[in-house]
Amino acid sequence: MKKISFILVFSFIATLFWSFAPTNTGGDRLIGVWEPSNGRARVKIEKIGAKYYGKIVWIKEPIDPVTQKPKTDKNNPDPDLQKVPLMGYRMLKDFTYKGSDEWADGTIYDALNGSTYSCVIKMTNENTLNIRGYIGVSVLGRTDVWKRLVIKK
Amino acid sequence: MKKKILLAITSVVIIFALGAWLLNLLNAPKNTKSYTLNEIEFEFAGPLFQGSNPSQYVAKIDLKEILGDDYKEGVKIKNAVLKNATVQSLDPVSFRDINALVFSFASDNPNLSMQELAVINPIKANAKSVKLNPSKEANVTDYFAEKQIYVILDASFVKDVNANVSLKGSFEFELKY
Repeated sequence: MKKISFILVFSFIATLFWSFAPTNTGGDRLIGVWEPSNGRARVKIEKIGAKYYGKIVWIKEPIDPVTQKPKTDKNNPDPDLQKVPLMGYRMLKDFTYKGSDEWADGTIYDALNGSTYSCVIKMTNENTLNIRGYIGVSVLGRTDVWKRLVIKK
Repeated sequence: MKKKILLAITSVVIIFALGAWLLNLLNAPKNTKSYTLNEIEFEFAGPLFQGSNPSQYVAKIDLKEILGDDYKEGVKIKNAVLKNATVQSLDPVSFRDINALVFSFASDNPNLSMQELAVINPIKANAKSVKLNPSKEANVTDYFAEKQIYVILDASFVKDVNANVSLKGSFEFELKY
């Protein structure tokens, strides 16, 4: 009788723990092509290993008006990397799924000034992301709303 | 009185500076070794769309294997930088369709950020082998404390390619330990 009670209690706790634990399947909902609110670029989020990364796959103005060549990451603080093409650049890096529709521990890169900010991503629904870039603490930051390009029904 | 206080403060500062210098000297790496991730094959599975396409290789980091006879229990890599990066095309025409390559490291470790290490842009269309320009600032020391890392090669295709493309890369690192 004691054995049965123990098994029942253990199963209940295990089920409870499992149902609250973040799952990779949940995290993969971030994968797809997203458009920031300014509409000037599109970012494809994909997974490498256990983390999520977002690279630029479309730019509204892909040609540098000065050089008349495809834009590169000319504001990168590392001069040796300023020739990295902006098309394909991973502007979102190293996000891990934390559960509750939130991906954190990552960074967002602003190619306009070459700055990298801490970033947290919150999915408000299947097709909308709140991307919050910040310095230091999340309170001191700015949120942008990104929309999924292929709308899921 | 003022002179004595100033002298005492100066002495303390000098002692601390000497201590820090000695500590630094003791921790400074004594050995240097060249390590090459040799002939890594990158498969770009078609159909490939115009723009950047990634290919990745999972590299196991085993210091015993890397350092060989120099390996000692508890040894740590204290500095690691990329010195040379060469990528060659296995298909003689494939660089015709690629105009840039970016080489990076990534890891599952939440404390380790993805790092771009080298780039070539543009690539001459008739090239069979290209040398990427390594970043002098990029440091990958922490990657050599991992068990496995992701070696990533991003290729920028100038047009859609309805085929598989294979590239082979060799990446030489300078390790200090």
